[in-house]
Amino acid sequence: MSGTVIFFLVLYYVVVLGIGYWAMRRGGGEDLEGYLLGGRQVGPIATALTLQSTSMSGYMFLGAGGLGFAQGYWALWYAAGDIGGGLLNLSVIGRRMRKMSQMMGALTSIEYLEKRYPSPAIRLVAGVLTIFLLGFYVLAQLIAGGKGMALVTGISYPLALAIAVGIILIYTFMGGYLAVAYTDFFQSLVMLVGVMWILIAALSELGGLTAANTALSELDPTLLSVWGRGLGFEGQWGVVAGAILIFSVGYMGWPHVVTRHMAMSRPATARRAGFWATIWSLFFVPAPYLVGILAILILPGLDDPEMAIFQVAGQLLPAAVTGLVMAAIMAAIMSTADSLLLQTGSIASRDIYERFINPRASERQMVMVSRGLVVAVAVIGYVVALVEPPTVFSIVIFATSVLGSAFLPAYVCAVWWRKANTPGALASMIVGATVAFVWEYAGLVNTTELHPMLTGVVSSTITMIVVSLATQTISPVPAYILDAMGVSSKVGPIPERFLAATEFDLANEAAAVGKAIEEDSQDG
Amino acid sequence: MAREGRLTIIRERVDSTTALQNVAGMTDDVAVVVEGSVLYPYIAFTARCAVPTMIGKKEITVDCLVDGVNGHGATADSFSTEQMVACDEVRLQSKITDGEARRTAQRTVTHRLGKKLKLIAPFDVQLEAAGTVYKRFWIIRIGDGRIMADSVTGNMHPLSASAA
Repeated sequence: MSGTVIFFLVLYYVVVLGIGYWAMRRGGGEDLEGYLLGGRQVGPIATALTLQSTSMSGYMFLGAGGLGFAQGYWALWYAAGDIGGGLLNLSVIGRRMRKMSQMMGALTSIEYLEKRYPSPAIRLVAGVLTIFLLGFYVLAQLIAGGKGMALVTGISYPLALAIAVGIILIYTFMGGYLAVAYTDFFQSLVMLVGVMWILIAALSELGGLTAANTALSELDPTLLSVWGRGLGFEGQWGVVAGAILIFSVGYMGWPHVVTRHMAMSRPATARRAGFWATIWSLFFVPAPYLVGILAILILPGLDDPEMAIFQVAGQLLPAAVTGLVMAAIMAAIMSTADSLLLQTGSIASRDIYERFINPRASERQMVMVSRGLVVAVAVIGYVVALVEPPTVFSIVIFATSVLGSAFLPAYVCAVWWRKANTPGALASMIVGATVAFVWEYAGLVNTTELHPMLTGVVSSTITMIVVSLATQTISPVPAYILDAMGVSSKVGPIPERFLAATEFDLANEAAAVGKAIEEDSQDG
Repeated sequence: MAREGRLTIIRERVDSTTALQNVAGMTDDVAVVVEGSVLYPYIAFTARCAVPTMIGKKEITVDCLVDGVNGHGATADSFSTEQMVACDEVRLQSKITDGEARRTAQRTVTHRLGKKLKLIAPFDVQLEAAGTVYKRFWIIRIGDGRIMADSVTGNMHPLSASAA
């Protein structure tokens, strides 16, 4: 099987590179906008699918399948939130954030936070938190890549992990974006076809869903319950609520995902993209969990639950199809990892090092900081993944819980609540991240029966409200931000006059012009 | 500050009437009037960058303007220029040297492009100087205050109270 799989892995990369090359040419020539935005020709379907594939990555193929295998139908609580996550994300903040970011001239999600809540402290805290948590997220991708590579090639896990880390590093250093929207679009379609193929094959093998459920019931009736294997989560509504929240509202707090809103060609794209995101999620999201559940019957002796989908594919599908599916999985993992590494390095060099540590840093120093951090994250990730690898599921749940808890109120209130101010946002980020981190790290889930995502989001939201209200007099929201919020709340394009009125980068010119006019009037 | 001479200016897209209408549309029952304009100096460069991609190097051309008064750099959308003779406008003088402007432009293009493309690999930037160009800002009085409006983008910024 290895030769066929490797052949399709190579073939997959060739196709992706071809699409990237085509997209670059289609993007319209040599100018920056053409390179970055594909000439602003990316429609709602591509927007929806790039958003979804960015959100889901390797987790869906390892973590979701592993959870289904370990807990049975209880795992679908996560899917329940996930199915509506894209739509909720696009509906609640998509259009408004797209407008606000354009009006405020923000290019990154962290820069957007700093402009909405004007303070360097916002950038510092958001930057540090994001680097830390995306580092964890990268770790999950490295482990997923190592495990997948080991299975695909048949080599040992340490060597496979080293190869996966090496490929990801090379991939990262080779360059930045390459028509990401189009490659993501293609990739998400392959992911959908691949996982549906595995699901259908698994159902056929077991004689359909009813027969599979009957067999599961005979094996262990609790696998069919909503409380997990052995009813381990019975009555724990706090954990269930967190499981639903993490991939529904949680997306709204992920800086690397909400950036997609800012890149939409038009605010109105959000509505149609929401429709397509839901359609895609309805088919894609439950499938990996279901395959994991069915793997209980197909692979009763499976050692590593996170390999359930890989193993089911290898056992049931023809070699060529298995190769294509596995190639898509590996590509999904690697492209996600390289994006996260790039973003982490970029934030470290631009938003932290240059901004707060060495404002006079040369380009060479900044490149060294970026590269150094990328290599450091990869090396640390390699060591952790080798010595004591946590499950992909646990890392992703940890990182996304803390990210969501820290940033969710800040992003949502940025466009919905006119009293949300800088102290409120700062306190909310710190409290949300701390609560979710401590809850997870101290194992309070078991004693309190509350999911860290739930406690984190509730505490950060309350903090945002209380601190913002308490500091309205000493830190009111600037009038130009309130005006921008007013415009972002309305349907339709941004009025031209308002676009014109919201340029904040003329401050230096205005100071010089004001002084010149003053001198001119004194002379005259 | 000067008032006369032949200059290269960035071609205007927003005339004084449009700028006035934009400001009037934002205000309620406050008298607005165009008081005049100011010509602001920038040192212009065209930067040709060979950025690394997974399929080789891609050449991107970016315009860069360096603020002639404050020395700040910014990448810019493509613009066209025209020649004109300054008459009654207030014209600010450039205060930075060509060498300073070039260094700022180099740094600005590298920084902005690197950030936008999420590049951490170094890339070549070839700068081509295009000389000093001026941009007109409309000065508009609103009640007791003043606003300046960019004649290219239409962007606005209030002027300090002392200038008003």
